[in-house]
Amino acid sequence: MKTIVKYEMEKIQQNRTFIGALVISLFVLAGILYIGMYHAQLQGIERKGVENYHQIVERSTGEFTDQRVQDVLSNYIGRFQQDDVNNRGFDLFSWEVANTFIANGENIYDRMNTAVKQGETLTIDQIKVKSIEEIGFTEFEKPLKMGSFVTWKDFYHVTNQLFLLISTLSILLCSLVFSSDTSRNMNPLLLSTRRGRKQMTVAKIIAGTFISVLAFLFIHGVSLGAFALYNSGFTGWDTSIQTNFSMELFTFPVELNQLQVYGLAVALQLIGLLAIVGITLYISSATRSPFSALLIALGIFLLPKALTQLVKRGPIYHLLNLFPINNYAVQDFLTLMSTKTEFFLTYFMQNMVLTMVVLVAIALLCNWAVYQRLKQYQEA
Amino acid sequence: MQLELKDLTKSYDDTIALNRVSFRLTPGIYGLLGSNGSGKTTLFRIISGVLKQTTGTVTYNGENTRANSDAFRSILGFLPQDFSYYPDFTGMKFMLYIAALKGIHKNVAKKRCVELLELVGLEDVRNKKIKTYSGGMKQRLGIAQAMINDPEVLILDEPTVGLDPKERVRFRNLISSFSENKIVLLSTHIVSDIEYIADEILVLNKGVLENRGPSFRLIDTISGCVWETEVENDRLAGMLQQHLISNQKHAGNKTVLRIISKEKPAPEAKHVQPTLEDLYLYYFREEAVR
Ligand SMILES: Nc1ncnc2c1ncn2[C@@H]1O[C@H](COP(=O)(O)OP(=O)(O)O)[C@@H](O)[C@H]1O
Ligand SMILES: [Mg+2]
Repeated sequence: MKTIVKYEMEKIQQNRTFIGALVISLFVLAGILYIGMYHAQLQGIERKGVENYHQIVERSTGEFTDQRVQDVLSNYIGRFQQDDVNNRGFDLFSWEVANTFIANGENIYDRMNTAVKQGETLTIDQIKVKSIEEIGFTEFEKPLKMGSFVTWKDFYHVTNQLFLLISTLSILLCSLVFSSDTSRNMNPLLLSTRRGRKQMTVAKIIAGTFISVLAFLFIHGVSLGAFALYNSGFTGWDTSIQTNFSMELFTFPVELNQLQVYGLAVALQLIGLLAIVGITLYISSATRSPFSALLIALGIFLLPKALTQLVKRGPIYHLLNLFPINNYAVQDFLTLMSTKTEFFLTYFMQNMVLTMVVLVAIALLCNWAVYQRLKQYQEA
Repeated sequence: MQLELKDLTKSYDDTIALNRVSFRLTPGIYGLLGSNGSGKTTLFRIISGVLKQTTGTVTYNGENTRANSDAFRSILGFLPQDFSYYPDFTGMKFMLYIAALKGIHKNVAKKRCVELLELVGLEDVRNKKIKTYSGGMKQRLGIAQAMINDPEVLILDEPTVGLDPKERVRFRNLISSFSENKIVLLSTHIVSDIEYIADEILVLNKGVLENRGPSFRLIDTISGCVWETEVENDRLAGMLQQHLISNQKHAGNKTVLRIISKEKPAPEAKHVQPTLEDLYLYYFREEAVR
């Protein structure tokens, strides 16, 4: 069995289409990381942005209290009015905090500029700052934690895009697994051997799944490494997801930190990938050419997204939200799964588990169907 | 050891590719002779279990090969027609892959594959990629892979396509020495491939098994129907029109014609000893070159 798996993997690796796709994927990966991190807004024009950001993060990390918010904001407006207009770096961290806690009508930037012109200083007492309770942040037994979040938002964004990359690559590779032998007219030879049905089918499923998972791990590994460089380590891992002000998930009902959210995202993506791989392998086994397998599989991958444009309510909508394309993005699964109007069950974790169970079931069911199909398969 | 086909019929939407084919094979070499489109490939694919018949059964030693497909596939060797190899595999790697699919243990497989590649004369190129092989080399690789599991039933679909005369001789010797106590069934539309090595010839014409038997017996059926006659060149066109010609040879301003016909084609025509080639023309006359 191991030997057959080895040969099936080799067949995939030697495929021209796959090699081409792999090369392109590496470029796309580099592009995503470059735009998402190296070229992120936070870097600023002089590329000192991240350094400044971490200074502010260091000062602002800690329990999420009204007092800390006050401190952050007062520091922010203090520096804003001190710094020379032309030298003023864009403090994305505090800017997001200000956006969250200072009512729109306050117009603090105008007021600060006016004050500076008149040689005065606007102080925090002159501004109406909303309280945590007022905004409605979810409360748990322990207070929420505030800390680095802008880099994490960028990281989530990159993670979302990587899912599309990995899925496309896996769909391409898995669409080849069975159909390329069919299109070579190799089946009469392969399917008439002793192990050419049961064991070979299992070996192909393993090979396709294994390479997909390997690509998944590699790509996310590289992305994690790039993030560690960008964020100078993993600071902010324990920041509560509710205090990631860029994501505006203030009322998210579960106590999760940013690392846990990342872990959930990756786990959900991986399980989603297994389902995608399963579906694609089945399609590959039922089509005569890799190209049509690819088109059909891509179509099915995207279809649930298109259908949510038509159906926006009810059980069918809930069903559509189970599919990876509708929940792969961090913000999407966090919001969708925490409310019963968008998902089947009431609680976030219930919905998460339900989704994972359904996706694993789809993967297993598809693999089983391929096996059953080829075990008996005879051309008509 | 007995392979039996009963009433095999295969119909596609608009064609009947096989029509109630029945025969029983015991160890020996069998040549399935038929023109293009006569149903040879269809028959082989059904026997090897990759194509579904419309009606009829295939049994091996009394067991239905569909119901016991695992067992049947382990004693089957099959060379299909028209497939493309993995271009970046070497000949050896391809052999080892098929050996793995045939459940041959790794320790034995390597030796067996080297041996077979030697037998088909590919030992020098066994580590070269298949994309560098000629048509004949690919064909020999196909023959070798079919034999890896030392099959009791060996089915070869047009195994000699692309082989040069020397390779054909080698192929015939290989099959002869391999065939002891085995059922070897090979198809061809080239008479000389099977004339000498086949114990029996099965004639398949338009999906119907028209005749079977040792070649001399089949040839006997047209004894008295093959003639040779010399004609003047001005009468040649007319003769070619009227008769089934199996050969023509120019000799000065005359032409010697070999004619297959139940009646005497010309007053001066003489009987000659029929060959298997004449027989082929006799069965497949529609396509005979006139
Ligand atoms: N998949 C198919 N669909 C329709 N007709 C087919 C198919 N395969 C073979 N045929 C027809 O069946 C007949 C027998 O074909 P085949 O078995 O390939 O003949 P041979 O191998 O003797 O040349 C031919 O008339 C061919 O056109
Ligand atoms: Mg054929």
